[in-house]
Amino acid sequence: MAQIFGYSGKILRVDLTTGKISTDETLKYKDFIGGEGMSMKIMWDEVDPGTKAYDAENKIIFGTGPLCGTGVPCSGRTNITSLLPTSPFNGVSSSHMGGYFATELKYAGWDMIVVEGKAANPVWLRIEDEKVTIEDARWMWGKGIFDTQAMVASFMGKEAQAAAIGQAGENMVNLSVIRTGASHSAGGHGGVMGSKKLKAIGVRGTGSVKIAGDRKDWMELDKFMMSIIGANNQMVVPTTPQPWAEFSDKSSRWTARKGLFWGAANPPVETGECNPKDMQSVGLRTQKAIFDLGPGAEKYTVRMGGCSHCPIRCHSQLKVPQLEKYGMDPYVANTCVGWSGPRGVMFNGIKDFDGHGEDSNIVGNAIGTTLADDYGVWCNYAQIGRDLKYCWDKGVFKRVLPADEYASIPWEKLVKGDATFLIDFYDRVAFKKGEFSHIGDGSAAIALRWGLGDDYWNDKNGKLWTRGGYPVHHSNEAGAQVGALISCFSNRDAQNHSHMNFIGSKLPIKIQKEIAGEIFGSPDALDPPNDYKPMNTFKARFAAWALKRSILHNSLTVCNWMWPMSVSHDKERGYRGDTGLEAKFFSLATGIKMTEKELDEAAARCFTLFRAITVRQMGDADLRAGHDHMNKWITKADKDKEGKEIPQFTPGTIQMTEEDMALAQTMLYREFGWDEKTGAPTRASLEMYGLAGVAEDLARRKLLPS
Amino acid sequence: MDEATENGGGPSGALEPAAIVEAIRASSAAAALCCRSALSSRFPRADIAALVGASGAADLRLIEGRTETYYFSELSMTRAYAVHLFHVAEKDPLRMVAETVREESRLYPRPTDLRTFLDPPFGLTPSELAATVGALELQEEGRDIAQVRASNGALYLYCTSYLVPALALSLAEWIEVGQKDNP
Amino acid sequence: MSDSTEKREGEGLLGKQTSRRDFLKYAGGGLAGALAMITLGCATTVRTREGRELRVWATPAGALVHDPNRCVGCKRCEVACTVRNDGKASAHISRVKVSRNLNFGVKGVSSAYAKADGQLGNFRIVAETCRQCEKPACGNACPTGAIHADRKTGARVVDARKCVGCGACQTACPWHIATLDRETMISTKCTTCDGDPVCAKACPTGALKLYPIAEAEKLLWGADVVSGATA
Repeated sequence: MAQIFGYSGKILRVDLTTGKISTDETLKYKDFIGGEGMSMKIMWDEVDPGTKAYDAENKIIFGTGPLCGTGVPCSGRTNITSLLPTSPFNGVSSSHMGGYFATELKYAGWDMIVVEGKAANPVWLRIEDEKVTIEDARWMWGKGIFDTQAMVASFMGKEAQAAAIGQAGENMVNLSVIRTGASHSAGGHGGVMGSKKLKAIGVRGTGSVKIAGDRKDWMELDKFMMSIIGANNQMVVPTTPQPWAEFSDKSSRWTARKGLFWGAANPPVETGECNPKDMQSVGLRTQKAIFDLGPGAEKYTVRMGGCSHCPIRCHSQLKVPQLEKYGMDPYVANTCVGWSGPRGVMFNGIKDFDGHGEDSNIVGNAIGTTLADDYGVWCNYAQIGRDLKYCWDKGVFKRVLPADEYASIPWEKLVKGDATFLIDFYDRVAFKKGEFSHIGDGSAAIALRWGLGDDYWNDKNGKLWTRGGYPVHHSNEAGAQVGALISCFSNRDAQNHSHMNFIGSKLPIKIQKEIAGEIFGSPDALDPPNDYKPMNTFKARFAAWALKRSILHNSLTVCNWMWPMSVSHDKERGYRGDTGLEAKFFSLATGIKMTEKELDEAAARCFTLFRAITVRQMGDADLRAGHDHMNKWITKADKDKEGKEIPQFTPGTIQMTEEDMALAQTMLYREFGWDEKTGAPTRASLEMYGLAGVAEDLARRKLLPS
Repeated sequence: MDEATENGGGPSGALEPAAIVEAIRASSAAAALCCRSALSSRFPRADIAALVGASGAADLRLIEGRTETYYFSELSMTRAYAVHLFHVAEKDPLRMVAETVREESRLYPRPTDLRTFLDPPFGLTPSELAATVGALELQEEGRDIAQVRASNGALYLYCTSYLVPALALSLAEWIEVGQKDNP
Repeated sequence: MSDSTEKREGEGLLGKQTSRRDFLKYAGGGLAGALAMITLGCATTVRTREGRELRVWATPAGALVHDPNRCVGCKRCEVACTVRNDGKASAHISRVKVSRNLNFGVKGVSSAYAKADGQLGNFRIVAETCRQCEKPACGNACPTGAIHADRKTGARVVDARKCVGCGACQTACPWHIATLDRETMISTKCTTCDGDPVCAKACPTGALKLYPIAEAEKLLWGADVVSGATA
C-alpha cells in the first residue's frame, strides 16, 4: 500500500452479532473528507430507511478526520454518527466529544470504527494498534462511566483512552451520552451503544499520523494559526480592559487578567494579562470556571483542561470538597452546558442548601455534573430542565404519574432550590424508574406519551425549535435569520458554532461588518446585535457557509467550537482571521491539494447527502413542511409593557416573522441548489455534488422533488 | 505613576532624548502613563515636548489633560487603554464614566455595565460610583447618558445618541440574562 | 576524532544496515572489548586502573523540566516534538512524555484512581522529560554507541545511523524516556532540539522549560524524584 498521509487509511469494522472484525479502506470514501462526511456516506449505503435507533441493523460510527492527530490546533474531537433515539423518526444525527480518544485512535492506525449488530451479552471493544478484540464486559456492566474507564485502563494499561456509556446508556435512556476522559461527552447516542450491549471502547495507539508536506511548512502554518487564535469560541477580545487590547467585553471568554488565578492549584497559578504575543499564555486566556460558575469558582479551580492538541482550554477542572458530603469524589470537570444542563433541572435556581451558603450554586452544579457524567445522562442541550419545568408548571406530572410515585418525588427540594433533588432525579432517569423517568425519553417522546400539544411546542420559555424535539442552539437570539436557519436542518440541536465564532467575537460591529462583507459579499450579511433587518441573500450565503463549515469541521475533525478562524485579535491584520486555513492544513497534511472553495464544495456534498438521508428516512421530500418548520414562538411578535406588539425588525426585538423565514429558507435552499419549494435535494443538485447514485435511489422511491 | 529608567544623559544631556523615550516605553510596559511633570523633574533641563517630538520614535503618543500631558508607547499600550488611564489620572469620574459609556454605545454598540467602573483600570469605589451616577443625572455632562435596568436588577448606562431605549434595554437583558441562557 | 572518521568506524562496525540479529552475534563475541576502543562524539570510554570500563560524558547544557501544576494536558508538546524531529505526528515516540501519565498519573490506575494523579483523578498532570543524566543509563546501555553527547548542547542524542533498534536504552532508562519507534525501529530520545526545544515553544502555559543543567538537576532530582517534575 502506498504511503498515506493525514489519514490512517483504515476503517475498523466490528459486527457484534457475529463477532467479525474486519478492515475497510478509508480512501474509498475520500470525497466525503472524513468523520461526519464519511459516516453519512456509510449510513446512506448501509442502513436502510425504516431502521430504528436501537435495532441491530443500525450502525454507530466513531469517526476522526485527516487533521485529527496531526497536531492542528483544536483537532482532538471524535464525531459519532448513528440514528438518534430522540428524533421522532430516528433520523440520522451526529454527536461529538472532545478529549483524547480520537488522536489515540488515529495513532492506533484507524480513522473510524463502524460498529453494527448486537452482542448477546455485554462486551467492550479493545483496540491496541492493529490488534482488535471483543472482550467480556460482564463486570463493567452496571458501572458508571468513571469506573468503566478505570477498568478499561486496568486491562489495557494507563495509556489507554476509553469511550464508554453509563447506566443510562445501558438502559437505553434516549437522553444518554457516550463519554471519554474527565468530562467529554457526546450527547444522544449512549442508548445506541447500550442497545448493542457495547459498554466501552478502549484504544491504545503507538503509531503516528504522517504529514505529506514539508515539516518546516507545517510548523510555519501552525505558528501562523497560533498567532490568530483567540479564546474559547474564538472570542478575540479580553473581558476587562488590558494594556495590549483596543477592545474589551465583559461577556468574553478571554477572562484572563492580572490577579485572576486557578485558585486550587498548588501553588495557585495566575492567568496574568495574556498578551497575545506571549505564546506561553495562550492556554491561560480562558479561565472558564468563573465564566460558567461565577467568581466564586476561582478558588475551586485546579486547572483548565480540554482536548488533544488544543491550546484553548475550555473545561474547568475543580476540586469541590463539599461533594464528599454526598459520597462523591471532590474532583469534577466540565464546560458550558456540561455544567448548566444538568444544573438546569433546578428550574427555580439553586438556593442556599445544606449550609453551603454563597457557594451553593457551585456545589449544586458540581453535584449535577458528577451525576450526569457518571450515569451518562444527556441534558438535550439543557432541554431536560425546561421540559421538567413545563410539565411541573402545567400539572402534567399530577396528571400522568401514579399517586404514590408522585408522592415519592422530593418536589419540595426542587421548588426551594435544594440541589440534592438532583440525586433523586438522576437515579430515576438513569435507571428508568417509574413513569417520571420518561422525561429522559426526550421532548418528542414525552409530547406523545403525555399528550403535550401546541401549547408545549409553541411555549417561548420551552425553546423547542421544531417538532423534532430539540431546542434552540445559537439561533435568532444571537444570529438573526442566519442562526435561525442553522437550527432547522439537524435532527437535534444544531451544535453549530461556525457563525457564533464570528458573530460572538466581541469585536466592534463596524469591523465585523467589514469582515462579513469580505467573506459573504456584503456587510449586510451581519446585523448589529438585537437590531435585525429583513432577510437578504448575503445572510443566506452566511448561513450556508456556517452549515458547510460545521460538517467540514466534524469531518476533518477540528473543533467547531473554535473554528473557523474568521477573525483574530491582531490589530495589524485589521482583526482578520483566515477562512482558508482548513484547506491549507488539509492540503499539507494529506498531500491532496484542495482550495478553500473546493473544500467547502466537498462539505456541501456531505451536507446534501445528510439531507438526502433525511428525505429517505422521512419518506417525504417536502422537508420544508415536514422537517424544517419552526415552532411558532420564534415568529411571534413580542409585546411591550402596555401589551402592544413590538414590530419585528425594529431595534430591540429578536423575533422573526413567518414570511421572512419562509423567504430565508428559500434562499438557503437555493444556496445548496436544492428544490426551493420543498428544500429537498434535486436530481440536478445531487448530480452536481457527484451523488448521481443517491438521485437514482431517491427517484426509485419517488422522493425527488418534481 | 512613573517608574521609568533613571536619567542616562549625564551632565551634557546628550543622551536625554533616548532616556526620555525609554522612560515612556518602560511606563507603558508597566501599564502606566508617563506624565510630563514626572519627566520634567527627572530631566530638569530638558524641553520634554520638544525632545519627544524630535525623538523620531513613531510609537510615542500623547494625551493632553487639563494641566498635564500624558505620554505612552503604542509598542505596549493601546490608545483605548491609555484613555482609560488618562481619565483615572485626571480624577474626573464624571467625564470618565460619560465618555466610556458614549464610546461603548457608539463602537460596539452596547450599554455599559455600571460595575465595570469598580474594576481595574477604573477602580472607583462603590460610593464614588454612586455619586458619579447621581451627578450624571443632574449635570450637563450626562445629558446624553441614560440608565436601563435588566430583569435581574443590573444597572446599565448608555448614550442616547447611539442607542434607542428599546435596543439598550434588550442588549442589557441579553448581556445579563439571555446570553447566559444561550451559552 | 573527526566526524568522518567516526562515521567510517560506525558504518564499518555497527552502522545503520546492521540488523538486530547481527548485533546479537557481535554481542556474543565479546563486543564490549571492541567498543572500548571507539570514541563516540563527546562520550569517551576509558579504562580505570582496576580495569573497569567507564564512559565519560560531556556535561549537557540544559534539560527540560515540566511543571505538573501549570500543565493543561494539551499534548501540543508531544506533537511538536515528533513533527520537528520525525516528520510525523505521534504521542508514543515523543521525547516528552505527557500522554502516558495523563489519565492516571505515573503510578497508573488503582482502586483509588479518583483521588490519584491524572485527568480521572485529581487532574494533576505529571509529564516526564529526559534528565540528560550525568551518567546516562540509556547511553551506557547502548551496545552500539549510538547514544552520544551532542557536540553543541551536550544533550544525549541518538545517532540514527548507528541505532539497531534493540531497545536497550528504553529498558535501561529508569523513566523509560528513550522510546523505540516501531515504524522505523530506531530509538527516539530528547535532543533539546539544538538547545531550542520546540516542545517548550509549543507549550501554551509555560509548563515546559529548558533550564541550565545545574538548575534542571535541582528541579528534576528534588523531593519528587519519581515524577521527575518539581518545577
